Amino acid sequence: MTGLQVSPETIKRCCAAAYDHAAVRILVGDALHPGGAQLTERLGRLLNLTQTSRVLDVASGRGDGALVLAARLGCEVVGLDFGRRNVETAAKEARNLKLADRVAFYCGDAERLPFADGTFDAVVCECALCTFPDKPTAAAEFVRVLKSGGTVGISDLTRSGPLPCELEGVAAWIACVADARPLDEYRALLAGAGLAVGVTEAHDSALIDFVEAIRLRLFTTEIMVGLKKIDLAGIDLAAAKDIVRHALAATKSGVLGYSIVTATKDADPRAGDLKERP
Amino acid sequence: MTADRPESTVDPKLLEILVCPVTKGALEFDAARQELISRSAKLAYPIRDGIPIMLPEEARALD
Repeated sequence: MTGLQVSPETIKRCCAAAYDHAAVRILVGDALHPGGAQLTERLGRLLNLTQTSRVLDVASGRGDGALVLAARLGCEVVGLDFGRRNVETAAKEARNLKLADRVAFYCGDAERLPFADGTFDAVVCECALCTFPDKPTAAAEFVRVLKSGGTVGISDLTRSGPLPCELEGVAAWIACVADARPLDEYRALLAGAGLAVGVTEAHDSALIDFVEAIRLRLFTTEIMVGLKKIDLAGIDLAAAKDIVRHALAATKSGVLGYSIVTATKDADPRAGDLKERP
Repeated sequence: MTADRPESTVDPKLLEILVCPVTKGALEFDAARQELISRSAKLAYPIRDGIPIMLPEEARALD
């Protein structure tokens, strides 16, 4: 637990605003989560998504994950994000990729999902749960909108020990680090929402590559800013470099990791991944 | 209003799955105002450029 003296509303607003900020795009690059399209596809395959699946992508950002699932696995995907500009960008990209018949994007809140009970075959949430202020409420909402036998797949940052103090605070929260939980807590969160936890897969090397890529981008960005080629209004490069340096150290030492966790609503035999099955 | 633009229409199939995020009650589509009306919450959620904004803080309070 972190002792942030900031309201949950502020965190959600800051998070959404930061992720659709052009400067953040410059720093983080095209993939806004570790592992990129490849890991999204892996998550989809673990959930046995097919052309007949209706999937909800919670905190869909600029739509990358939702579009990968629709393009590669053929499923129907609804993406939900708190940031309106993200949603607009995602919807535009869906039209560009001729996927608008299979993918739709809405603006909404993970803790108050605007969908009817039992709507989806699967709920995915990539690298976002760790930024939600009220995780149990979000998890309960995932379960509510799932059909019986439906599956949840999350990929998220994990933490196996205390973080350096530089990784506390709002800036680090937005960078999806400060509220990363131990893997067992994510499993307990899903179990606590009434789900049967299935597969857990570690993808720590994807996180190391991701943070390393951000570090290199920061380095080149600093040069560009120095040469006045770009203007990063409102972004504190020194603070960003500090966060990335500590995040890289924590990742390489194994304190920070990245994992996929799947879970199923009800003990339904459709979920072939469940290890508990006899 | 930009009623002739494709973005200003909402797929009726997807409207079927949308509910009010506060009450989880049904929504009515007001095509003229481009709003989704929740009678149970007395809120009208705006549809901007074809995108439903399902946030109570962005919704218009109904009398």
